[in-house]
Amino acid sequence: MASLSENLINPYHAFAILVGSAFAAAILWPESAPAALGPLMRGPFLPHAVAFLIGFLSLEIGEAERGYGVYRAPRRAARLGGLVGFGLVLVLPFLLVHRVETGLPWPQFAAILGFLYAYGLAWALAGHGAVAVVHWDGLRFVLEYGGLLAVIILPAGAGLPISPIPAIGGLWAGTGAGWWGLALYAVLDAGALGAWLWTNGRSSGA
Amino acid sequence: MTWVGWAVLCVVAVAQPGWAEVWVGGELGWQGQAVLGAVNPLTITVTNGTSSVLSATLRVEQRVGSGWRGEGMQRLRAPLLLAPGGRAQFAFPWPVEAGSAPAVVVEADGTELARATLPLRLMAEKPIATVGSVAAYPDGGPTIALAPEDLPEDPFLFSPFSEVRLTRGAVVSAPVAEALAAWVAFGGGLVRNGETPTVIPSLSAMDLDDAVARHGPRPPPRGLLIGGTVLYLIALGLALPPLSRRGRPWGIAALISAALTFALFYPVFFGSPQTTTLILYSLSTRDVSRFSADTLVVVPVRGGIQEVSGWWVERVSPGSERSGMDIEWVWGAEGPRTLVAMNPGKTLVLWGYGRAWSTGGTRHVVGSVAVDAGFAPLLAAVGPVAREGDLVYTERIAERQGGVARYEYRLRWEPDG
Repeated sequence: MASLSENLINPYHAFAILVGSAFAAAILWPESAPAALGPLMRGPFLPHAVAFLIGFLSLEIGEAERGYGVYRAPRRAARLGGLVGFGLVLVLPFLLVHRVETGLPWPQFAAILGFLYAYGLAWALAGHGAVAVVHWDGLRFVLEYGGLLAVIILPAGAGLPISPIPAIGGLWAGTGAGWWGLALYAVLDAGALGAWLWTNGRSSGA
Repeated sequence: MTWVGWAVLCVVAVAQPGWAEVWVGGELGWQGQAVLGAVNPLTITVTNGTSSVLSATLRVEQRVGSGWRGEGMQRLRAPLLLAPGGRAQFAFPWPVEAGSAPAVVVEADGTELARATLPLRLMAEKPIATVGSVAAYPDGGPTIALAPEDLPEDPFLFSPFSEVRLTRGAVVSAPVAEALAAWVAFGGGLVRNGETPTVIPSLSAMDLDDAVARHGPRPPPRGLLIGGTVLYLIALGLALPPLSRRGRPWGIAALISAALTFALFYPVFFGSPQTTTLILYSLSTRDVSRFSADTLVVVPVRGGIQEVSGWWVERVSPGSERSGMDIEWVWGAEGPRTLVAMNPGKTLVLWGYGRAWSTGGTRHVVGSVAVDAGFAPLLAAVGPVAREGDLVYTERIAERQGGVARYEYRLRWEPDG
């Protein structure tokens, strides 16, 4: 069994290309730009772009993993975590250079990476679970991607850290909202993984 | 109220530790009249009515600005040590903007001992200060009559006046005369019947904008980064497919390792741009021996709090407004310090009076020697009053501490003869 489903090659490459484009936009952004647009270069534009895109990649990962190979639940969960991590590693060089250019301290950078991983894993688990629950492809597509966009956009206006926009903005600035977002997704992941492994263990034990 | 009610109130009053024993009061502005847009004296009187030494913190807070153009908090924190039964009066330079009335609190160990809200009585026009015995008040505008001993030794506190008139026989002390000279020399206002130094115009906003552009963070190596990004993405297109064909992941491992190595060593080769730029312009003149006119430009790339030594207030150019950022003045072991909140992309210009720079530096004769372009704002200020043959001494310091790049430009002008 290959380590990666061929259905994931293009999503990974597309993810890297889009993050690379966002990185190029941030690097090429002129210093003379109006102050209101300044954060594109020196602000959290790139982590925001990664958060936006990793949600889509993670849904693809979750779906592609369903039915790919025969793995027990713990191994499958580890693969989901590994594949989300692999996506982040692909764009890590961009994030590292951007960290230097924006002067982001290492602790905040690590917290943002942690958030991106936890957020990506949550959507990978959602994508993986959705295939089992919703069998009609059209409805699943609408539910998955509509849900992803709703989570990104709707709470952002109210500054709720369930949306990656205020959460990453908070971690970038070192304010409370960011830490709440990180904690929220960490707890969500732990809860979802725990419930999945527990129910799976019960069913296989029976 | 019945006698029972009074008795309960008295018992409660006595039971409150410190209640009515420490008293605080004061006023904002000269004689309680604050001039809008100027730095006014904030006079605070604290009385310790207790039988023990008062070791406390004096705290002042005022919200300035408005919701639509940005609100900011002005705060002051100063340690307070007062003997039993003692009374002390302090005057602080306080920039006055429309906003809430300043609240003054004396607190010790988190317990509030006394509180007062100072009335905010604003006047738009700067008054004329007449010092000494006044035979007749001058025409044309409001007037404030002061005794010579009322005059401050801090030039900041003359800011609310348009003019200071010393009447015949009014003798001011040497420190007050120095403060007056600094106030006049650096464009604060006029003094009549006293020594009048040459007035040097303040640094122009346009020159400061140019200075900000000149001292910005280094640009990223764009060509290298964009070229590297394109190559990395092309290589990724070749290295990813073998992962789905049971191939060994050596290609992708090598590619990611190379990219990560470059990213990790990137700051070693290209350095890291500063996250905050501080540019200090200090202007001294032979006419003023104690004070210099200082301008500090704070250019933040990231948000946060910047702490600088000395008492600084935000400089507001005519026709513009304060940035609405929080500012706090605190006392440390080495005197007052100013803490300003920074908003990325929002340049903050502060001004204040520093210690005159009177010795050292590189000597130049006006009209013959060119100096570093970084001195442009200072030279432009001195330019209108300098004559050929005058001496100009300059000193430039550039240092980097973590993410903060600090540039200091000091210039002393000594007129010929």
